[in-house]
Amino acid sequence: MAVIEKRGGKIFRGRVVVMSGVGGLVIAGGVAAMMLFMFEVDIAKWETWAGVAGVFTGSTIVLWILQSLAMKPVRDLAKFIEGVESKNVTKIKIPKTRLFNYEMEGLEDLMKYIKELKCEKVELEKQVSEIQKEGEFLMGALDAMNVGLVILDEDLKIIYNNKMAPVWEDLDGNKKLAMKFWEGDTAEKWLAEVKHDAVKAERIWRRVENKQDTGEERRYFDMVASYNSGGRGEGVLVMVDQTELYSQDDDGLNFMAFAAHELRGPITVIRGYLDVLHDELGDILTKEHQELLSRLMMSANSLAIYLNNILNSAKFENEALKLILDEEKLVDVFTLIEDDAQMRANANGRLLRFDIPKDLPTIAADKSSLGEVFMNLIDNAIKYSYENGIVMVVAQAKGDMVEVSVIDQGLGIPSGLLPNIFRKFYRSHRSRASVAGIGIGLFICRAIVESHGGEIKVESAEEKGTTFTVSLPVYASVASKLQSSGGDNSSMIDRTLRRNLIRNHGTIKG
Amino acid sequence: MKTVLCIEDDRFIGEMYVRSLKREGYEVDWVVNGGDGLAAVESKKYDFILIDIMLPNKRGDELVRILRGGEEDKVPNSKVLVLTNYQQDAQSRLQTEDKVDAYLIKADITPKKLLQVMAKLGGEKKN
Repeated sequence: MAVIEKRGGKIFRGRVVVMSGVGGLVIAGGVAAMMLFMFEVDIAKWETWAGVAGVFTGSTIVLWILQSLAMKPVRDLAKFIEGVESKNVTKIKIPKTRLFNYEMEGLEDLMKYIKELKCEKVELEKQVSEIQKEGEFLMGALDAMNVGLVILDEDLKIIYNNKMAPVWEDLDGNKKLAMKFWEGDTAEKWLAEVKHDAVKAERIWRRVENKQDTGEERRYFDMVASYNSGGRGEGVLVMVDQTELYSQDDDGLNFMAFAAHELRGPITVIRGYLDVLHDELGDILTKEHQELLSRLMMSANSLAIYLNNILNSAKFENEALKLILDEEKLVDVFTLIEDDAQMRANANGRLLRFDIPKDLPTIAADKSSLGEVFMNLIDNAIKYSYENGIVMVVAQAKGDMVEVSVIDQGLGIPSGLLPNIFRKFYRSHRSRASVAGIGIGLFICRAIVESHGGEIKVESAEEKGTTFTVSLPVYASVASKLQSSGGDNSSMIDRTLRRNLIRNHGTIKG
Repeated sequence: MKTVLCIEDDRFIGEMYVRSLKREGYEVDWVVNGGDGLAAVESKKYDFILIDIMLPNKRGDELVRILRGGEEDKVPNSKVLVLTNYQQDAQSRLQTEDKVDAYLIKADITPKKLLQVMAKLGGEKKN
């Protein structure tokens, strides 16, 4: 807006003076000419010139007064406008003069109109500044939140992000998300996909790490993305900072990783050299020495199983029990553990029998994890049965599932305790004294089985025995579902498996 | 005779594998850090490469990335086996696992089982 230079009532003053002077000159010139030609006045006389000068002065003054009067309304208007500009609205008064009737002349209406304009302007400015304050407050609040917010326009370009949001700017000034998505599963890609074929969509990513290229601290977010076609911000991303929560996981996992490395080292050496000794001395040792060696091997194997149980249950707690399920034969799972299991049964005076048909349909399995499950179940059956008792492992196909049962004729479990046995660190009261173990075997069994999309059940009668039944999906029944969801098995199984990954490839796992 | 490169820094474990591999009829070279492992792979063709994860000089997962992570498989004629006791987090484990022919936990794999796995992958079948 233009700035008014304050002149007060002196506006047009120079113009009035000059015009009066010019008018005076014209009149004085006319009077002089008339006197010369009509009255033949002697121009040599000083009185003549004095007269002309008098006429000039007089007419100039008269003209100045008249023009000033004519200009007065304009000057009053100018003064009024200056006053309006500089004064508080409430103090503005419309000037009144005795000489003119501004009301009749229409000037008062002009002034009133200007005053109203000023009032409106002041009111608007007030509103604008309130809105600005609110805006600043909101922006400040958004920036102070522990939640990141990113808004994208219809071209999926970032048009707003608060301070917390992990966003970086490239050399051309384009803003981009600075987040490490897993295996190319980025929010940008998802938004582009839903823009193509959806009107509204929502999705959640968990545990996404920020990029730390420029030395930022490591942060973890859970992120909700929502897409709304045609909305003012088509894409809205909300990131909740979960750094504290997830770094605990990290610390926990790091500790487990460290512990695993430290404990597994000596176990590897013990088991490995026992294996070497058994292989190389097998023929030389007496039967008694062979028995001693096999006891050593068995104990070393137990140690390895316990350690795996501990590590797995720690992983399971952190929701990180990721398994890769391949197409496998059930028989091959038992090949892994059969020798160890037989050795253990023999040493404890139990009879262990396997009845696994070779023509069972293949299952979707992580072989070594399933091996652990059956080793644990067989181990339990041996522990909780009697000398010379029989432990049976039988399998059969049942619809889309393969059912494997581990059956003993031992102590049985009181029915009141049955609901609790899959809980972590749960051991029945009376077994605590007589049987070794720390009570996480069945907990991890259930975790692994459920991670396969399967189910584990128990039936038991006291003094008659216990049957654990594991049902696992037939590979063919899940393969198509897996393929249709691009390897993500969320469509297939509830709860546990949702966070696991199934893929079919040729890596051998141990 | 099939050739094996064993990259393993633990003396007991290294000697154990070398002993049973040789007994099975393999020709075995054994190095104790990642850098030497890479140099060995570059200078000689092996049928099997056994890699530990926690290695001095250059970690095993990095070696796997160098050998199998690029566009071109640098060891197309070798079977690469990771043998580790290190509990990698799930994501990096999957990334490593994807690139190799076997990913085995040492504490679970006795020498006898290792030989079985290698036989399955086309190795010596003595027993």
